Parts: sequence; C-alpha cells; structure tokens
Amino acid sequence: MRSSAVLTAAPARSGIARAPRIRTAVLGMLIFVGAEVMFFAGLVSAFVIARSHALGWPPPGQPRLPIAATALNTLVLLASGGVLLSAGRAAATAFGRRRALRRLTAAVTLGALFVAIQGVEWARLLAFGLTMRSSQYGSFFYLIVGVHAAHAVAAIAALLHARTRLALGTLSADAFAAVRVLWYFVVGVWPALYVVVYLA
Amino acid sequence: MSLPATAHDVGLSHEARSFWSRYVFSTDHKVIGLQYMFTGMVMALIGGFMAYVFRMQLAFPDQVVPLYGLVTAREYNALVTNHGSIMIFWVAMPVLIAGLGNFLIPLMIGCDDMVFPRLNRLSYQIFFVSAVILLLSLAAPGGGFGGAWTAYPPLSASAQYNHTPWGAPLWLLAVALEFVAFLLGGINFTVTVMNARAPGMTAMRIPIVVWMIVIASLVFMASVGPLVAGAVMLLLDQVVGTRFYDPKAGGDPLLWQHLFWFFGHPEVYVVLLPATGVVAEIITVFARKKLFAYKTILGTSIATGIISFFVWAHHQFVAGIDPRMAHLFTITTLLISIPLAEMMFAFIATLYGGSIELATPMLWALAFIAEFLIGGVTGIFLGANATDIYFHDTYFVVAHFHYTFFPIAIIATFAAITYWFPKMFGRRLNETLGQWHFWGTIVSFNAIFIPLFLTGAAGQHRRIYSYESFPQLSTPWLNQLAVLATVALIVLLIFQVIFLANFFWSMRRGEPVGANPWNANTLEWSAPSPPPHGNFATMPTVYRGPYEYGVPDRELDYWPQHVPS
Amino acid sequence: MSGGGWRRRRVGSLVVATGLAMLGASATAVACPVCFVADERARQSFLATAVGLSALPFLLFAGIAYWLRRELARTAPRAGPAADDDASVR
Repeated sequence: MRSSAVLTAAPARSGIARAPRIRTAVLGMLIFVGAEVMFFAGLVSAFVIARSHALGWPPPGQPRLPIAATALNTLVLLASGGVLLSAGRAAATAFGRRRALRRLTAAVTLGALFVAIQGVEWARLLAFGLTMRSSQYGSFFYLIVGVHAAHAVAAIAALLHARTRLALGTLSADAFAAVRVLWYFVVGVWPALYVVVYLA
Repeated sequence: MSLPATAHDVGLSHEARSFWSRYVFSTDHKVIGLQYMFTGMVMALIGGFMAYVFRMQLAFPDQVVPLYGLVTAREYNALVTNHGSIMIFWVAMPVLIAGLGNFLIPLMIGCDDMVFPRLNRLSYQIFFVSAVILLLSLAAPGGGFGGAWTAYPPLSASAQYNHTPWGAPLWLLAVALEFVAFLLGGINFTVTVMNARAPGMTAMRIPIVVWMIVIASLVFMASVGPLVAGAVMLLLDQVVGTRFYDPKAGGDPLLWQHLFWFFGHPEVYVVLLPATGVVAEIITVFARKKLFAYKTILGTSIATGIISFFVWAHHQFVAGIDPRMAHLFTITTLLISIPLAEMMFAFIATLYGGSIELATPMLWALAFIAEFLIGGVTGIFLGANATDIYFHDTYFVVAHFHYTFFPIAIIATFAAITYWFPKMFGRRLNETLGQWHFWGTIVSFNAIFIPLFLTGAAGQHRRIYSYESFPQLSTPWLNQLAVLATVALIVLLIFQVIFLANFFWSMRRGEPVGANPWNANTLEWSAPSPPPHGNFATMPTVYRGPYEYGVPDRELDYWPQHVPS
Repeated sequence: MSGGGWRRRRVGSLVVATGLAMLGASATAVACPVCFVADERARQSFLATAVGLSALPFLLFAGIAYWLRRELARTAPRAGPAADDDASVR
C-alpha cells in the first residue's frame, strides 16, 4: 500500500496476514464497472437498432435536443472528473487532506451541477412535448439519459460518503480509489452517450 | 459501521450470538452458502411440483390433477414459465454458483472469509427478496406470468396480450433483482480468488472447481448487462407504456431476443462450468489418480467461456435473422463442443487406470458425464441451422436442454452435496439410501426425456396446453409417450423423498466424521468438519497442486496441499 | 517432413478460406420462410451491434488485465523471492 498521511491503510481483518498486491476494492469496482459498460452497451445497441427502423431521426414533429447546452454541460462533468483526479493526487501526498477535501467538494459540486442542468433541460423538453411515451425518440432519450443520471446521483452519494469519511480520517486509500473509479466511469461514459443520443 | 467479526473474537463471542445473527444475518461465507443452498432446494421442490402439474395436464388432458385441481390454459402457461425460470435462476444459479462458490472458495483457497463479507450477505438478502417476489407473483391478480421464461415480446410487453398485469412486471422485477444478487456475488468470488489466497496457492495450484466458478462469474458479469438493459426496457413497456418492442410504434420485438440471448446462452455455460468443476474434483478423489491434464482442462474452460459469447444467435435461427449470420453462428456453436468434448475426454482419461470407488458422489459424477454427453450430442442438431429449423420449439429441444440442465442443476448438485456433506455438517450421509436415490433418479430421468426426443422428432410443439385440438399431434403413440414421461416424472419426484429423508436425518443423526473422510487433498479437508467461523485454526500454507493422488514412493496414496513435503 | 507439414497447412488454410468464401456467397433457400430480413438497414444494425456486443467483453477483460499488470508491477516486491508466481494470474 502507498504510504500516506491522509488515508488509512486497508483495515487488517481477522488477524490473518493477507498481503494482497492488488487493491481489493478497486478490483471489485473495476469488475462492476465492466458489467455497467455492458449494460450501457446494451442500451446503445437497442438505440441503434430502433433508429435503423425509423424513417426519419429525430422523428418529425418531435422537439430537437439541446445540443449546444448539453455540450457545455458535458464540459462541466468532464471538469468534475478532472478535479476528482487531482483530489486523488492530493490525498496520496502527505498533509494533503484539506486540499483533497476541498477538491472532492468541488468535484461533487460540479457533478451535482451537471445533474441539475440535465434536470432543467428535461423539464423544458417535457414542456415542449417530448415524453417517454411520445415516440421511440423520447423513450430512448429519457431511458439512456435517465439511467445515466441515476448512476450519477448514486455515484455522487458515494462520493459524499467518502468525503465524510475522509474528513473523519477513516477513509482507506483503497476505498477512496474505488469510489473515484465509479465517478470516472460516470464521467467517461457520458461523452459516448452524448455523441450517440444527441449528435447521431 | 464496525468491521465484520474476526476469526479471533468469534472464539469468544460465538456462543453469545443469537440464532438470528448466527444463521440469518451472518456474514460467514459458509452460512451464506448454505442459505443459498437451502433456498435453492426449496425452490427446486416448488419447480418440481410445477413440472408435475403441467406434465399431468399433458398426459391426462383436462382431468383433475391430484394435489392441484383442474389446470386452466392460463395456469398451464404460468406453470411452464415459472418452472423454467425457477429451475434456471433460482435453483441452478444459487446452488451451483452462489451456494457452492460461497461455501467452497474461501475454504479451498485457504482463507477465512470472502473479501467483501457484508456485500456477500447483501447478495443473499437481495436473492431472497427476489425469490419471495417471484412466488408472490404467482398469487397476483391475473395469475403468474405465462409468457415463457424467455419472455418474448410482444406477448410479454403488454398486459393486453399476456393478461397478467401484475404477474409479468413482478416476474421481471424478480429476475432483475436476482441478477443484481449474482453480480455482487460474482464480484466477490473473483476478487476473493485473486486477492485472498493462502501463501503458496499459485494460479496453477487452485482447484479446478474454483477456477471454473471464477470463469463462470466473469462470463456472467460480462454478459448480463445487455439483458438488464433489455429488461429495463421491457419493464418500461409493461408499466410506463413505452413501446420499445412494439413494431406498430417503430419498436422491434427481435431486439429483445438479441439482448436476451446475448446473456441467455453464456448463461448456459455459467451454470455448466461450476458443475464440470465439481465433477473434476470428485472423479480425482474417487479414482485416486491425478487429474489428467489440469492445464488443458483450465484452457478448455477458458475457451468455452470465450466462445460462449459468440454462439447466442443460434436461438434465433427461425426468428428472421440474416442467413449469413446464421451460418456463422452455426459454426461457432459446433466449435464450442470441441473444448467441452476435450474436457470430457480429460475426465475419462483421469478415470483410466484409476482405482475407482463407486461411492454415491462418484456415481453422480459419472452420471453427469454420461447424461451430459447425450445433451451435448443432441445439441449438434439444434446448433446447425438447417436441422434447427425443423426441430425448433419442439419437444426435441425440451429434451435436449433438459439433458444438459438436469445433469448441471440436479446431478452435479447431488454430486456436490453428497461429496461435501461431511464438510458442511460434520456427518456422513447414509450410503445405501444414497445409492437407492441415485439409481431411482437416473433411471426415471432418462425415462422422462428419451420419450420427449421422440415426440419432438414427431413434431410435437412445446408450450401447447392440450394436443387434443391437433389430431395429428395426439396420436395414441404420442399420447403413450407423454404418459410414460409423466409417470417417470412422478417416480423421480417420489425418489427425492429418499434424498430429503437421508439429508435431514444424516444432518442430525449421521455417523460423525473427522476432517478428511474421503482422504482428499484440497484445503477444505484440512479444516475441521464443520469448519468454525474463520475456517482454519492456523492459516494453511500450500506446497503443491490439488490432485497429487497415488504418488509413487509415498506411504499414503494422497498428499494434501498443506502438508510440507 | 517439414515440406509435407507446410503443404498440409497450405491445403488446410485453403479449405478454411474456401469455406469462409462460400459462407459469404450463401443465399437464402427458397423453401425457407424465415430466412430473410425485411429491412436492410435493420439487418446491418443488428449485425453491427452483434459484433460490437460480442467484442466488448474482451476489450473489458483486456483492460482489466492491463490494469492488473500495472498494479502488480507497482506493488512488485522490492526484495526477496516471495510469490513471484502470482504474475501468471489472469
């Protein structure tokens, strides 16, 4: 394990010397993220197939998606990922807890801002008449973007939990890295979804 | 939250813990494994009873079924659907992967518990909730879901067609929760095996069954995502009123098959691999001979896992897919029989020249090889698109996959239970009753499904409530075969009473055994039977591979992994 | 010996190549009522997503394997011969 003044070492359990050379929580999270990638790949496949059946895409009479506003929002999310990256770096250095805490807070705020802006866009689209039942277009939009938003909210909750424990000094380096992996996944999958759902 | 109980303080607090914290909310991998196993056993009884009811309807149409009553067409559909779902998702998966994986992996790799014990407990709790939801769906208004375990839309997508406004969503919810449970379990298995092995337990010294459970978990986790995506869309179709699978609204019913079978066929290998792993463990112990070609078996199971991602469209040969794609999937489907055949040959080579002892676990293991081969060979006709177009959705298919799933979910499970029972409960099962149960089950199993190959080849379609409306399919000969299969099923179910009696009697009254009743090498037999919380008094160190039987120049014919040379 | 092996291999690969070429040229049987797709664009998207979905798991496995390699290199024991077999873990 990396020596660090900020994060605790992995808790010793059971009095049995386990010396894993692979970080346990990170490996678990990576496998979970792999399953999630397949989940999103399934949604995107469905979207591609449904689009190929349509005569026009987006279907006539349906509102257009806010491409430019969402592009800006994508930048917000990417910024959040970048800030979290630096929070991880800060936590790995000695005496970096306060800096790590500040950056973690900034990353969570940016992530929450992304979700909020998405929510505002949804409200506007609903007002324009794009609903889950109005067309395949609407169904897939709310399905894919909604599922991503649900992941973002869950990951933000995990980040907040990690923040509390970091403030208390009970966060292990392994657990923090695992939560970061989850957020990087939420950040990393979004540009792909943006291209598929908004641009294509 | 406090850290999970440690092996050391358990010694102090073990007696003080209540029944609830010891058996219901335990984080101990063995307790969770047994919870999965017992839940699976209860579900197997329910699924078996369903099979009895609908087989009675097929053999004696429109007559009152004893213990059930008159079967309506809608009930018949619900019974068939839930029999299939239960046997695959609530019997094969929990017993073979979750149950055995939980019980065996930490013991076999020499570790005190899973790396994520609380995640493990959560996994069982989610699984339990999913089982309850499934059973509740049968009592829901409109009855249980009746759209077959594959749940093809548009039938499954709208209550307008399936007439089960509650049954269908509840069924789907139960399946989805079940997947979440196994996702958590699978992550746990993989990480545990990678990170928590005893010193000296190198990759090539891991018992083959552990390897197979890990490979199966990885295949499961890589394939389940698209199905969950499809299931979310199906649930939205049912509940919210989207029309993802409705061709009228620009949706596509084939899309479901696309996503479902992407998971559905790897799933077959997900349950098959642990079963073959169990067989590998047992035949080496009872042949007293080193497992033939450990690395080849490992390689073939990895190859099976890889190819299993490329075979799924063979379920769609008649669904209107691109014929060129059908040809490719025919080839991959036939290819996947090569690693499996190689594995079976390695097992037979292990038996060759061994001093074979036909104890009950060994009988089950040998029966697995024999019966699974029938399943594999009949699968070739279904994997080839030319013949599949004729056989599709006939009882030939039903007989084929029962010849694969019955060996997997029932025969291998009995092999595992009879073999590891002494480790689980510290007592021995009754051998005479075990042999009676074995022969009764195997003979009646063949008597059920050989007739179904014939009715299928004669053109009888599955999922038909009564053949009386199809005169060409209800000839006296076909009806006699249906009666034969049904009588054999009843015999099979009666023989399970012997097993249950033997199991529960031996659990309390069986002959007590020591740590290693079978003189086996793997690490679980170095722990006391049953192992305490924390498993090992002192953590073992591993010095050699798991299959050193009959080593020349040694007094004992076995050489446990933890014994220094 | 080696010449014969070479010739056998060449014949073998010729057989495989011919087989694959014949696959590409395979046509729908007239008697087969289900061997067609009404919508050409849908056929292509089914094919593309089938390829994509089938390939993705292996990219993921490769990614995790790469991460494992890096992780093992990072935590490689500085001294002592202990546990070097672990590098062969998949």
